[in-house]
Amino acid sequence: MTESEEPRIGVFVCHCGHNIAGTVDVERVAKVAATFPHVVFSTDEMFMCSDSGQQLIRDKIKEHGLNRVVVASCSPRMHEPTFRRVVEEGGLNRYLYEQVNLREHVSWCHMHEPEAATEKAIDLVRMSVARAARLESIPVKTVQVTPRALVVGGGIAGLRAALDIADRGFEVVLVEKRPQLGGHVIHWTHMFPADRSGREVVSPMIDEVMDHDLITVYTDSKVTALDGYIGNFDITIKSNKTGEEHKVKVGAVIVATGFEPFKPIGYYAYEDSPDIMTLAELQEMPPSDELLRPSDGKPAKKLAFIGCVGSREPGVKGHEHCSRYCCSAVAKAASDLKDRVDEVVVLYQDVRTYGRGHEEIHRLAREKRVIFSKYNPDERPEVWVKRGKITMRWRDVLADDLLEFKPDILVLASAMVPPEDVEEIAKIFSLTRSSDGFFNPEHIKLAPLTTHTAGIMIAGVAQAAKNASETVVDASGAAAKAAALLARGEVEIESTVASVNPDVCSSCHTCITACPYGAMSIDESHDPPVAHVTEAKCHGCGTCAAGCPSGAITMLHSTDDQILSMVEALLMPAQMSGGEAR
Amino acid sequence: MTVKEASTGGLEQPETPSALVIGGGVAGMQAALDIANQGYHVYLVEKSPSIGGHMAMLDKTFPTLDCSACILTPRLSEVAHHPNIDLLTYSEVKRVAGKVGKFHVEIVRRARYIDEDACSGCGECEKVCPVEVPSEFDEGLGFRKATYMPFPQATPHVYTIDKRGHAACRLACPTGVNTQAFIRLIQVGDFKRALDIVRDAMPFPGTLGRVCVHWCEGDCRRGNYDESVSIRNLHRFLADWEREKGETEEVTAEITKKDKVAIVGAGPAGIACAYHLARMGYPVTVFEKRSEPGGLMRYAIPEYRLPRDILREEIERVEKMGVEFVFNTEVESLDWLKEQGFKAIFISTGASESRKLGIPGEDAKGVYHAIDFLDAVARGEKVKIGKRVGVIGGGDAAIDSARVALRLGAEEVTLIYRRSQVELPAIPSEVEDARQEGVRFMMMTAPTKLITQKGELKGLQCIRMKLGKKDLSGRRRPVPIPDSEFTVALDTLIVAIGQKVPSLKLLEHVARTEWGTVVVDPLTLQTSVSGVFAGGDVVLGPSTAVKAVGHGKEAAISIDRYLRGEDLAEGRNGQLYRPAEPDVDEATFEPQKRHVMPKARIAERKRSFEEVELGFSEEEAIEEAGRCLGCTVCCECKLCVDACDRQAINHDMKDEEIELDVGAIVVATGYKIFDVSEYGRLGYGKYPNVINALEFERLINASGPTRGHLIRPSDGKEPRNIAFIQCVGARDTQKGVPDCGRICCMYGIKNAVMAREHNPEAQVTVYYADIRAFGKGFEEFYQMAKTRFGINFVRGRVGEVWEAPDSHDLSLFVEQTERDQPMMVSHDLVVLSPGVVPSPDTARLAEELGIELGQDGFVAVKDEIAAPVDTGVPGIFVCGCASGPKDIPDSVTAGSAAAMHATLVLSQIASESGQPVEVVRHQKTTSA
Repeated sequence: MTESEEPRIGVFVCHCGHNIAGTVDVERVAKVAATFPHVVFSTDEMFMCSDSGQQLIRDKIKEHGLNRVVVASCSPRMHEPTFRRVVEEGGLNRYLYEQVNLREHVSWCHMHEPEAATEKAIDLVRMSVARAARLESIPVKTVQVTPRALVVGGGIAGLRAALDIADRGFEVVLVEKRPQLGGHVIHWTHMFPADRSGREVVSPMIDEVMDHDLITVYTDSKVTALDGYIGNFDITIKSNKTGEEHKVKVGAVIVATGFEPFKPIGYYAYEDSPDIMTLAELQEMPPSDELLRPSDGKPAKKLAFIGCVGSREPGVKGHEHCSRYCCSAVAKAASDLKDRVDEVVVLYQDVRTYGRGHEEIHRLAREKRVIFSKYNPDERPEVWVKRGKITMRWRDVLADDLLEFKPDILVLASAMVPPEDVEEIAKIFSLTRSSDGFFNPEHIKLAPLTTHTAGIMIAGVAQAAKNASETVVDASGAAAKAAALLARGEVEIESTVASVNPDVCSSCHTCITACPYGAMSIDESHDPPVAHVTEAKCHGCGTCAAGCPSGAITMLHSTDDQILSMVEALLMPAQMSGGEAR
Repeated sequence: MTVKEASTGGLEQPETPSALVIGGGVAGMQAALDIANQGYHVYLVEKSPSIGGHMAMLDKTFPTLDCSACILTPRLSEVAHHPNIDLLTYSEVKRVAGKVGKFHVEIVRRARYIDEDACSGCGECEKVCPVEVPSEFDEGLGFRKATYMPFPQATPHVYTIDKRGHAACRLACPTGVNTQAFIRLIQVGDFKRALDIVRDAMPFPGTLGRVCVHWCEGDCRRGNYDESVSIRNLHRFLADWEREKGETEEVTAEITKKDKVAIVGAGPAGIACAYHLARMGYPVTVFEKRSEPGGLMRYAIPEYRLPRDILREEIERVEKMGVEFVFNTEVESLDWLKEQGFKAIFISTGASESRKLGIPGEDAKGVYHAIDFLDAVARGEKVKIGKRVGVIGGGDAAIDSARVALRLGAEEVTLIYRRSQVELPAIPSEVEDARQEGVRFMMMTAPTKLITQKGELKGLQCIRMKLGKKDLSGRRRPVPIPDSEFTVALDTLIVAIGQKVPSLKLLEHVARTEWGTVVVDPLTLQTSVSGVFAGGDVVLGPSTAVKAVGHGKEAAISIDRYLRGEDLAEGRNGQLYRPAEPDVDEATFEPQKRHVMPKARIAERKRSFEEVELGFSEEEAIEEAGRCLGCTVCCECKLCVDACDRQAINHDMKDEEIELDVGAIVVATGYKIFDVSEYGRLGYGKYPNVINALEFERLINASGPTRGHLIRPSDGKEPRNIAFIQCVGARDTQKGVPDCGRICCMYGIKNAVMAREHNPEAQVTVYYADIRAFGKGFEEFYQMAKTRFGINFVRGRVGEVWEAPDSHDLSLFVEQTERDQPMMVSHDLVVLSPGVVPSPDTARLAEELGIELGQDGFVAVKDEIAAPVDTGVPGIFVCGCASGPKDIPDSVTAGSAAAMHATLVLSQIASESGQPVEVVRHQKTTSA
């Protein structure tokens, strides 16, 4: 497609079943669109995203010699990739495609005004047709993939991911910030639902990792910098002890940085007695036949648990989420320890023993006469320590009674929260975080392991609170994503990037400061030196173009010309004259 | 292992190692993609017509309220277009052998009767399909056609014809009339096509529509529930309709072939054979000894049952098709026919000679034999009849004779039969008519002597009988009770104890049995002489018109094959099919009696030969047709075949078995929701306004049966006060579901939120035990449901649900655990949130794969913590809900993990064989 070629635009208006057609007169939109300049074909169709809708586009490109395609359907977030692929299959460059959002922007928000909605739909289609006429082909670029993966975090997730990728035949660099591998799990004396210690579970994995020819392990080290882009990341690893730096090139990254057990300072007299501990601390207590009270080493007779400590607190930043693993872990611990003590009381909001077999553990605990008592989150239990003695008082919701209990040991099922350095990690790997403080996946439903940064995966608790079993599943899943990338050998990169016109650039460095991705630099080899874009790093955000005082930077696929044509089409529709009839 | 050569069903043998993924839900799809994206080949087998699983049925997904179909569709498309994935939908894994790295798998690809490659999904077939059944995809709340696509974005985007075996009625019919199809077409008012379908099988819709014994109705599955469909009367209706509308298309002869065929005997068998041969284009000549065609249908069946015009017109139609009739001609030799240039011969000379009683006095004046009697009356001869008439026999001829005698003026007609009412072989409705007209029945009585005076009949001596042991016919043999003789005074006696094959010269040329019937191959109807076929009563002995017509049709097929030099028997192995059973929910089945055919008033008909049965009106016919249960779903009316521009439809398609070799297997067979009707106290299945969560999903879905209008099933009103009941079929050891359903809390909350979205006025209450909002963003969503959407959460078990009969509103008895007192609350819609149980096929498949199941019926994993997607069998992995309830992200993640482990096996194979893995460059655009 050369620029001199006359645009031949096809417009496809989607009913989306009843979603759009229930409000917008799609047939009319299609008819009116047929009269817009350069439109040579216009129609409406039940589901453009369905196979038959896709085939329709391919057929019409051929039949009418279309060189631009406009689909008026839903949000481009969902189907732009679909239709770009379709026009490519039809023989056009993927950037000669334009999408109008008639669903989220029109039918769903103007459900009660069908006529006005239809007018708005026509306006939007007219604007997009005007833009489509000015779209240009942009070459699709591919880069080679370095067949090596970086796994950040040597807990159970990182170990599993590293082993899977290495067993698949690719090199792995595993970086752990602590001196030893095994994460939190290795410290836990028993895991639910299995009757095994964490060490029993992870030790074989650690041995395998250490022995694996394809795995290089950096313990007591941190990733301090990540440069580059999907397929070609440049990693800097720094030893905590020596400060020594290693540079490694990898094609894919798995972030498995896990969590910290929340230190519930200020909750339930946590710091007032050594006999008040977190669930993680309980799990780390050395195994013994009797449960010994830390304060005096005497066997404990009464034991209490409080659930949701630092979890499920509406409005408290970073503590609104459910920590997922604790209910089942408390049920397991309570059930096991009931054999060694006289009384066990568990205070809870909801018992969330959701996993396979977990309800069985909960049931067993109740059968052993563990007392489960529901408290109201708006009226949390009170705990105080007097002369080393713990007293707890709370209102039992079901009995509506104020109860008191004096446990020898009080266990606080504290939240899983992100590790201290999570912000640093987020920055290095360009990850965003959700309200729970953990990293956001690309899509919460269907892409829980990939992120918005292509080539960077997340696994385990780095993504959200979960138990060890779920973490292992995540790890293998993320490994599959990395393996696919490494096996592929090359990868396409985004082409909608900034482009500098060297004739206009005044080399003022504004863009270099503005760019959040480090994609702008000064090309000293040019005479005079001008701004230069490292395309693989550019995310196409446009900050540089907006900041450039000389107007030297153009955003490919979002040129001034393209945007202004849309504004013109909206404000001055009278200037538009009829095109060829359908 | 089979030794036959493996069929790969047209699939190309991939160059890279392959994996098998069983189940095309969201977990299986993800596993397939993640294996395929690593460069290996995947066979994705899905039982239903489309991939997408349960997720495709959902409206919105928690916690982001994304439209489920919208986020799923790109995945469907990705799977369908992936160059490394072979998608085998409507297919099932039958057998698995071998071990890790070398599994040998047999897969049945069920016939979808539509060529996947040719179908464009245009839906023209669906438009013309007359069959509607409840849509599984809409959880039975909406309808789909027999040819259907489960949902608009179904992948592959092709139609499937739902055809389930053979209809009992059709199997019962000797002429093979496609009963279900013509009934369905009557129901939709397409009488013309319906009649065409009857005529495809036989030329006598009007005649047999009156006199057929209708075995079809005996086998009709509706009869198991209330009364069978009035099938015979329905095809009579079609014939009547055509006559009355006068819209008969002109019938023209299309004789295209050269080989002449002779038929001897113009009875039902002969005419049917001529009809089918003429349709095939053969020149046919029918020789008839008598002066009119029709055989016993004409000469023995009384006018009040079969008006002569009806028979005459139907035979004329055959004549117009180019069949030549030669009357008053008795053919005496086969050679003579051959000399006339006939290349094949069909003998259908019947069995019209009345049997004799064989007791003294049978030749007395006043004694008639039924066929001669009926024949004489039918010819219009004057037949002298006395005041007191006796009829001996219990067949149709006996009943006909008795009723004719009444019409000729007899004052008292008594039918004498040696067995009981139960054994009476005549058509029951005829017996009933005779009884109403005043015929007396003297059962368990046999004649012993005719009492005559001067050669004239005066009476009959009879003896009482009792039933003894069963005879060869399976009926209890009547034996005389000693000393029970008595005498009946009679003026006229009609002997109707059956007929036999007369001794004809022609028959001397072919082999016969000791009873004088012609010996034929039961399959091909060929006699001992090649090229000479026989059928009807001459073969069967005295039988029914419909059997004779059926013979005529079969003989025509044989003759065509004979003349074309083909094997006569091939493919006609007389295989017996098990009739299809209809999909009837007995709990909701509403009995409806069959329509009674209107009849002439008894007083009028007693002395008249006018037709007794008056036929159905259009409305009656349509309503009666509506009673058909549609046992086989697709009725093979084949309207779709004509509608399809791409010739994609093939009703003769067969299931296909293919064999594949794969290195690894991923089990992703998913789940089904718990059958909440097991909790009778909650009223599901009993009260229309108690629905389950999946039904609710379809009700609020824009592409669902109500186009997304949340209305309640009883009256279509918008519900104002909705209850959601959680933990139905979860955390209940009594019902065998000890574990948490894991997804129900969140979809319950999501549904509650959506209820408010759809109907902001409505009050929405969720009754729960514990709210288990444990996933990423779930707790936040739960809080939002409480605060922003104002959902009322009540911790408590619902004990029982009652319905107010008039309003269909519901009362709930709730044990509210946060208060002292249980309470009674009212709602106008109750949505039960069922737990999750293994999909029905899991156990069978597990046995085939040799993998273990847990006590909960889900696939057991090797190690809950360390190996959560491995089964006990190396090389077989599990993901999604096959190994226990999971939400979508957990299923997808497990799919990826299972894929990882499967590719470890595949990469091992690849490196051992030194085979380079060709990686397909196929990647979605990465978004910034």
